Amino acid sequence: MAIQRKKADVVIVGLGWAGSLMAEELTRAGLEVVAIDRGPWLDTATDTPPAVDPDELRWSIRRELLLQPGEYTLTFRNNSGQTAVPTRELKAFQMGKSVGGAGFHWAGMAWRFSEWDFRVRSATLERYGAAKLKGLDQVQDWGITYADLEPFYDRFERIAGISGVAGNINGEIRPGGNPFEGPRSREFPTPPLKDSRLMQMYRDSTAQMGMHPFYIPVAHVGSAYVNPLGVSMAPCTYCGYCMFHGCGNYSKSSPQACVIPALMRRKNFTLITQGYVTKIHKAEDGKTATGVSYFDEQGREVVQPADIVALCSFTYDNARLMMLSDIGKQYDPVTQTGTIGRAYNYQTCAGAHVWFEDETLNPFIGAGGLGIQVDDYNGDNFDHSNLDFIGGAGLLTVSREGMPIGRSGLLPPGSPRWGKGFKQTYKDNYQNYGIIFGQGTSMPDRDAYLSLDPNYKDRWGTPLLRMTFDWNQNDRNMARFIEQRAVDIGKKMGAKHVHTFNSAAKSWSPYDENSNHTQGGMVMGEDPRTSAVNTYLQSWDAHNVFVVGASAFPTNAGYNPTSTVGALAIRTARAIHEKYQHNPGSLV
Amino acid sequence: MKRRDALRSMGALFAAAGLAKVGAVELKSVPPQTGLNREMLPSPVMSGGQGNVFKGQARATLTAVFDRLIPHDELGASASEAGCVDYLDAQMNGPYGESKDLYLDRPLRADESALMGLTISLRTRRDYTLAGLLFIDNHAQKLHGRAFAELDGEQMDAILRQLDEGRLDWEGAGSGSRLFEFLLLSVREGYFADPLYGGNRGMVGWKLVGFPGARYDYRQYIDRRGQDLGLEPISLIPVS
Ligand SMILES: Cc1cc2nc3c(=O)[nH]c(=O)nc-3n(C[C@H](O)[C@H](O)[C@H](O)COP(=O)(O)OP(=O)(O)OC[C@H]3O[C@@H](n4cnc5c(N)ncnc54)[C@H](O)[C@@H]3O)c2cc1C
Ligand code: SF4
Repeated sequence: MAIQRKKADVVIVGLGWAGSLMAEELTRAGLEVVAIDRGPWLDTATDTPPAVDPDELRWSIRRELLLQPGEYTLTFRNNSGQTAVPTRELKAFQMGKSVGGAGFHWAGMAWRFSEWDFRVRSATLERYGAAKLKGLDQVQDWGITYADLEPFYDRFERIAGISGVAGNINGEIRPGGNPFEGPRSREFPTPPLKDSRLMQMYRDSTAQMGMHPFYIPVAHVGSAYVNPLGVSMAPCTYCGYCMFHGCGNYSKSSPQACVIPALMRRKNFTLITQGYVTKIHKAEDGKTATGVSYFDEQGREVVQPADIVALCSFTYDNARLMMLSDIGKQYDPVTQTGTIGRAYNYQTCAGAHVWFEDETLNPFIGAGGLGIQVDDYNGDNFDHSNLDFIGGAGLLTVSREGMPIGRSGLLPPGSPRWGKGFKQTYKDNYQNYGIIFGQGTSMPDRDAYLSLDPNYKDRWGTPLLRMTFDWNQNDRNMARFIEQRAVDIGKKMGAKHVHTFNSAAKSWSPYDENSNHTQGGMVMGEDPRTSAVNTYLQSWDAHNVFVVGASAFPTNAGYNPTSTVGALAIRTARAIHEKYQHNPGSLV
Repeated sequence: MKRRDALRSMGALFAAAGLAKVGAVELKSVPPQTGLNREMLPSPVMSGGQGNVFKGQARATLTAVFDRLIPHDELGASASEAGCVDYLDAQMNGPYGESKDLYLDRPLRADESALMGLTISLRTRRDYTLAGLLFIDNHAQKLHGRAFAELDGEQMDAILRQLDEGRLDWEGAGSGSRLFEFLLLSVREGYFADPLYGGNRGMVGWKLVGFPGARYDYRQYIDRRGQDLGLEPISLIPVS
């Protein structure tokens, strides 16, 4: 018999950025919240202080802070005609392993999506006409606009202490910021960090080319800061042990550093660690949920009843738990019906590695997101009339490539990788390497979706999630274009070697580590036939189930996802305590 | 007891596989322990190594391969002089070698590696590496009638080049170059990881490229753009 717990107002599955921000709103409004996370408790000062954090092998190479495939994995295939196989080694499927989720060891680029990103379909029709959407029938608007989300972006940025330079405040374009961004209501909460040599070179060259370089907004606070929840943070020290690492300085914004300390003080908040949720229970009428079940570390099944269920368990388990619980209808690529698993999308990346001569870049000075970007070829910021694609990419350089194991594999093409000459080449190139990274949009496609795997199971005997994905033609064309823009920039910067990469040049594989940004599958929208959740991320099929995360993105932007995840989470939580709890039912 | 030895014995005491765990618990506040969680400290490798995994012929082959990949020259120590063999021995003796992190459930489909580009297949890294070294040695015997470690440098390099360029396969297409990549990755890890793990002795790898090691605050250096900062490297453990 399963162990029964006391009923809560809200049960939150997963305490990453999405879950902790939801919990913060809901407990502040007085609701009784229980959060369940499959990971153990982990905190910055106790677990990743400066005596532990600066260790490339353990964190960047072995990735001990990440969830390993032995504990959780997905199966994968490129198209519905193949039989999927499990991903056995950790590469592209990167997930957090502890409370705090991937927000504990993320790189920290903290973007707002552009106005265009929320209405790709309508905007494309308006500017180019229907022909431009040929082959892109699943591209659809989000059902909310940038303006709807602006107050919640602002709230996320204040809580996280994001460092940046505004490019557009209430419509006024500001020097030094991104002129293409949507209007912000005010300046960033903390100032920018300083430029590295590489960043200055990138700024100068792109500006000379007529582009508009700006400082990437980052979750590495730019000055001492106290956030609206009363939590203190300290300025980033450019230690460089950042992406895949915790932060020992209270400088990298994470659920642990920014939200959880405040949550844990609230009497109406309870956290259960190492509880692996495998099912949402449906009420007898089939229209609502009554709570969730999880397995604790001893393998006992525990039921947590609740009036409201919020899935904040990242793209994969957000979809998988709906499938395992039989809520909503599984998407079928043949009939194109069903919405659960539909419109999975990714991040299309292309760019160039560049090597200079006689530079002293001091690449060990850096941070996960410390960089400069140009958005001149992102979204719809440039004319696509004569191009064979929609979308684009942010083109950036970032100062985080100083760690010596990783860098030993980044030598100019043709140079000795081993034996005689390797040491000399590496020595000559260590100070001379830079990256130009195009992080591009991703459009949904008929044969890109999530479903349950019929053959492989996890250690609880539940089916693994199966991903079916390959690049579509639009995104391949876009990536080719971006690759060339990266070459132009590299040459302008005076690089001696420019070596391009283009992830969409061959079929996708989870062993090619292109990006860990993985969206869709439980997409939001205004039409229950083509979206799994409404614009408040509320399930169309069970009105007290909310599915929160990048799983809701119907299309992906040429930016990292997390600020948008945070903004959506806060917006949903606010709708729950302001409206839903007083009048349960559809919010739209 | 010297500090380094003290650290080592502490590492042995708290040698933890993976992450420290509080246990399945219900938390109503931040756990009261706020000091460093000692289970998070890494476990340093005994100097001189243990020789637990690579013994006899396997150790000789590994040493020879590693020293062709990173030879001794005017720029510094060879891989084995820098401790890379001890490094890999310790790695293979722990959770990494046991492949605790991999999903190894069956079935293994015949087309799996074509779709996925799989490196390890369904066995532990330890078994994989030992089998790979044996293959290299057998190949040397076949070509020259001698163990790999007894070949001259040019002969060794010729075999390694065959693997590197995908001209010598072992257990299916692409397996030779995958084995090579794995050994190359391993030697680089040993040469450039913190000396705590047994390799990079005297921080030879870091000194080669000018990496300052486990430093944590560059605020006073960020404005000195384009300058050689001349920073001596530091390790997580004191090294001579
Ligand atoms: C190395 C790395 C670098 C990144 N860099 C950036 C960046 O620069 N900018 C950016 O915007 N984004 C970045 N990301 C992505 C970013 O980390 C994620 O978008 C973000 O953390 C997602 O937050 P989330 O709360 O939706 O999910 P998660 O952080 O994944 O949290 C989900 C939580 O749910 C728990 N959970 C999952 N399933 C279950 C279950 N069945 N039962 C119980 N608990 C469960 C997990 O343990 C986890 O704690 C990066 C990611 C990685 C891995
Ligand atoms: S670079 Fe800055 S934010 Fe990142 S881990 Fe170091 S101090 Fe923390």
